[in-house]
Amino acid sequence: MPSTRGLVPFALLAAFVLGAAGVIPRAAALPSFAQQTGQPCSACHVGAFGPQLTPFGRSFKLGGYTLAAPDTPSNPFAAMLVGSYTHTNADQSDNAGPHERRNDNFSIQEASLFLAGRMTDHIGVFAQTTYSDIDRLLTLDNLDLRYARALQVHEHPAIVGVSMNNNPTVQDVWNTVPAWRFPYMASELVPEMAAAPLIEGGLEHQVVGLSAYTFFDNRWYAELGGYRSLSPGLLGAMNVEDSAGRISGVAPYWRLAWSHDSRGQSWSIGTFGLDAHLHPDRGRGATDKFRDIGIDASLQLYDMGPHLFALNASYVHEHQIRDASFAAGKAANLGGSLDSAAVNASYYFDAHYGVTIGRFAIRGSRDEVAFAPNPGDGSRTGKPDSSGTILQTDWTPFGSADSWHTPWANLRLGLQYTMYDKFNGAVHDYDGFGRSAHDNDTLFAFLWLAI
Amino acid sequence: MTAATEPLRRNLLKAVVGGALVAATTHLVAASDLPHLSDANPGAASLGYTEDSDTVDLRRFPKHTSQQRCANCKYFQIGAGVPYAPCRLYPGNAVHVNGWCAGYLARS
Repeated sequence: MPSTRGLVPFALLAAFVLGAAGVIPRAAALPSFAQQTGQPCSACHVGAFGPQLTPFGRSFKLGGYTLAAPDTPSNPFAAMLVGSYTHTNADQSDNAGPHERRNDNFSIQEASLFLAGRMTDHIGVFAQTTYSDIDRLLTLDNLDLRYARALQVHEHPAIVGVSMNNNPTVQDVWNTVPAWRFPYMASELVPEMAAAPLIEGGLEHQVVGLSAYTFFDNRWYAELGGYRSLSPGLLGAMNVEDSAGRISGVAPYWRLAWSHDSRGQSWSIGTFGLDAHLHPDRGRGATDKFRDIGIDASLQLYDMGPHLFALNASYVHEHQIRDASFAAGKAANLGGSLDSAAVNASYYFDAHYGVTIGRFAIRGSRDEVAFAPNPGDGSRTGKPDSSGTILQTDWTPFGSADSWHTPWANLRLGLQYTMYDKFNGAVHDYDGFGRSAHDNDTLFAFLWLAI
Repeated sequence: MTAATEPLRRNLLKAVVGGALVAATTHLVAASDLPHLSDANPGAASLGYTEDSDTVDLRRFPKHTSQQRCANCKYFQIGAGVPYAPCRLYPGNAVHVNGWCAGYLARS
């Protein structure tokens, strides 16, 4: 008998949809942003497929997803399906997932339903609920509800807005920040690296945040917000794993970026950060304190006939004081730090044929208790250090203004290979059970469909 | 450390709420006062906006025709007898009646 608990995310989304229905001005039949705006996917996305945004795509998001072509019927629903195949260089020590084998796994990685579109002249939403065949659960995925409007301040154009979201950096418009950076699709059936800064997914879907932002004079982006934890009951109802614990009070989030756009090129530099005090067991008393500070930069060159080049880079430093974990015997040291860097470069031809190369590296303080030996995902050295290279080639046959069944048909076929230089602190026998970093090198093939 | 940072957190929260109120209560300026769209606008640069449709680079936009102008585009918010008017593609900016960009959709 299917669990009614798994239906909660659908029920929440349905309630949200029904609540929104009264303010959606058109009651027609076409889902998705492309249908709403009248623009092909390639107007907003590099390679005619999400999530890498073009400058126009960034403007659309900053505008609160509210741009709509007049007299164009649309509705805010969309769907997405990701089928994948994962092969690691050596079989894993245990099954790759609860319903998978130790290697060579096919899966329906994601099946998502979106509520994504304009609700009023100044309010728009991007809400996703996802079923994973790996966990066999339906969860509430990313949420970004926005209010935005255009202003003129002393003869300078400005957009001001507010975002309510459930994942720090999901509201951002650059593909340098953790929620939207390369790889845009990756296998979930491989050994996990031991650590990442909190802002790199550590709070995703477990929190709710409110932030105010402005994009001033087409150059300056500033955002300030805060996050609070959702209750265990609500997380359980939405099938979201409570991995971070409870934020003490409000965790401030900030973002500042400067961008420059001119004919054929767009580039940006910025900084972002989060300061969270967490009760890892949701109790009272001592907290683990994380202060993440990141810098990022991006470049797009697109006025080169059919050629487009994109570069994205980010670096995050995390300072940790783990009073709660230390007191509970879950960390050997009170203080620590993590550094995470990622850079990638993409080339797309004719908006349909792409190749991307990315490098990533994580380094952190030694802690023999927090990073202990364990088959597959442990650390023999007590260090969380990992680094590697990702190569991806993809083909997006549709997505242009004259594509077959535009904008209904959207498909990306991708082949990705990840090579690890180091995994969880070592090249050889990193987990204390004889596994080498190269055993985790991964071939990942995916079919990504959006309608 | 927690006690010391709490006032900072409260102030940040107040700033967020204040920013939200400003955003919610500020009104748009008149269309005639809107700044003219330029390449500095990310969307305009991305979609190749120009104030003169006759100067469009046909190598980059081979499907462009000389009949395509902002004045007969679906997104143009008509301002009769004025050279510039708002465009839905570029909120907060005004475009030229003889302009063009790759977002052009013919008005039916």
